[in-house]
Amino acid sequence: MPQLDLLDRQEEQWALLRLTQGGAGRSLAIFVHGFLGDHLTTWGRLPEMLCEHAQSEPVLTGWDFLFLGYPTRKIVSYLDIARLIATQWDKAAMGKPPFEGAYARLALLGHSLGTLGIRQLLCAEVLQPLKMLKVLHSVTLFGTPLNGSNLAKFGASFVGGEIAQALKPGNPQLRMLRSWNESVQPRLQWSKVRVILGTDDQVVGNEYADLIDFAGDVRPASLLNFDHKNLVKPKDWAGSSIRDEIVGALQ
Amino acid sequence: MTNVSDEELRQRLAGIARGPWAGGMVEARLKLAPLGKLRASMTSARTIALDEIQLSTSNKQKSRRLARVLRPHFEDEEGITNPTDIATRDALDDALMVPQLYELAVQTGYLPAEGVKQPARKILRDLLWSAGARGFVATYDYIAVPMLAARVAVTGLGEVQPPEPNPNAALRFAGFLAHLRAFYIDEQIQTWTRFLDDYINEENEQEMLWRYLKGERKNAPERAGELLAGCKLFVTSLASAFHVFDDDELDRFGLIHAYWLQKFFGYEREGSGYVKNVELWGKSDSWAHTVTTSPHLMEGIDGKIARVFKQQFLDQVKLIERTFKAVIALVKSTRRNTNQRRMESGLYR
Repeated sequence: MPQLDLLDRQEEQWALLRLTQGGAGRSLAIFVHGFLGDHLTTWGRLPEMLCEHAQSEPVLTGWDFLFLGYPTRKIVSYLDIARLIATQWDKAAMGKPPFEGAYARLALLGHSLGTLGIRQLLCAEVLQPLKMLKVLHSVTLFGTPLNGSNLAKFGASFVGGEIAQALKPGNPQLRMLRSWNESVQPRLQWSKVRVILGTDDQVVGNEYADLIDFAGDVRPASLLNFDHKNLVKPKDWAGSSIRDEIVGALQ
Repeated sequence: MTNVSDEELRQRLAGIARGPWAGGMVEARLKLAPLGKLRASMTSARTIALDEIQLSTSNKQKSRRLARVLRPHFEDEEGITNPTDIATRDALDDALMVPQLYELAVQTGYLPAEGVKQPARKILRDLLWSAGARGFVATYDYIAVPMLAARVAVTGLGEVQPPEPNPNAALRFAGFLAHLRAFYIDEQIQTWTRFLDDYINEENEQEMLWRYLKGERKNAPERAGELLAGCKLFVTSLASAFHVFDDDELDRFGLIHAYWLQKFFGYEREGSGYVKNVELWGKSDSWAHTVTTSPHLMEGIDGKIARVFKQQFLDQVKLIERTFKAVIALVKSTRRNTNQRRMESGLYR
């Protein structure tokens, strides 16, 4: 079974797993990491597993995978992450380098802070490349800070730069995003957003899943037996519930 | 995954060569370069024999000077104190990151051996033409460097058999490289590593922080919060990187961080390998122990959450300790093999 090729751009902080000379008419899943993560280690062995198994999973054979990174301390608002995603999808949809051929379909998967960047892109119509929502197949948010993060309460001034403020529980940026989401989702009607939370997640918790509603989210949120970090790090491919969520998202 | 296009090869080489350590390469080349062009000793198979290069009189002098600058620090009671010597050693240490990463990249199938041949040979010749620089590589266990040399037909760094590449581990290397680049540019982590390296902001800062973390001192040093945050990021970053590796990979990748791991776990580098710095830390103490047992570790966090975070932090420290133990064992076995080869070749007779 053929494996996917790796395009690794360390200086630009992204890695693309793609079928050789793929692109035209294929689908692209973009993975966006969280607070202080990086484009690859955040996902543990997931990139490796996708590389090895995607071509033997009927659901995944049409998909390529882009792991997108950003330097957390240089990010000021969710909009900055949204722009990075939009830039990559614009290139992919147009078949511009490094992509070969125009991609036809998009899925967005995020972890933690990355999920807020994805939500922001859904709301900020002005940032969206042409017809992005029409080709958006699915949105999957792992460990999304529905009400900010306990981690941000502690030591944010030391560790996280400006964006750490936007992770504190009830912070103004998050409140604004939620209202923005509430206002535009009924009109834009993007694909249902699947939220996956961890039973042991003490970073963003899961207790707000029943209290804080983001319009357009699938209810109820899914719950997996992991903590915040391990929620996106499958240990193996065949028996992993994380794998099941990803395959489900791309089905 | 080692069949890569020319453009991809160029990008991957650049990702390694232009990391945060690139400045060290430039500086090391300036400080260690031979005077004039070297008459490289090439065999029929175009092997570069570093230890057979005919040196000019001025290069012989430079080689002797470099041998002094790059001598094993533990041979002097005071260690290395001259700032110029320290700068040269630091630059060489930074520069050696590139050939070490080339070797790991080949081992994991991230780069094809043929693809690194040209840049690797140039680096090895430019940096390691002098006996002093080659001694530095041996003394401080840059184990991947002689492996790379053997792969690209450069001799003079000892006989080693580089492992067969695993063509399916390229993404593991790519992840490690992403971590390494982030680790070396992170200001908070640097605050902590510089502190480990004795760069302090106030008199007795290390002693004060140690006593504060132990609960023996009420007043925290000015940077206590910043240092503790840097320490946590240091641990988290290393644990995230090591998390993806199998047990038999931890030593090779951990070796890249050996310098910081020894400081964190209270060890020092001796001729025989890594040994516990008992004089400074006693038998069981270290920064790792001090931080993980400190009542201040999770200060300000609510009870249940603090317990969970603390357990996660302890698990991370355990993983990097396991990695450091694997590094210690690797260094020990390499030293044993090297000494045995020397005995067999009659070098000690």
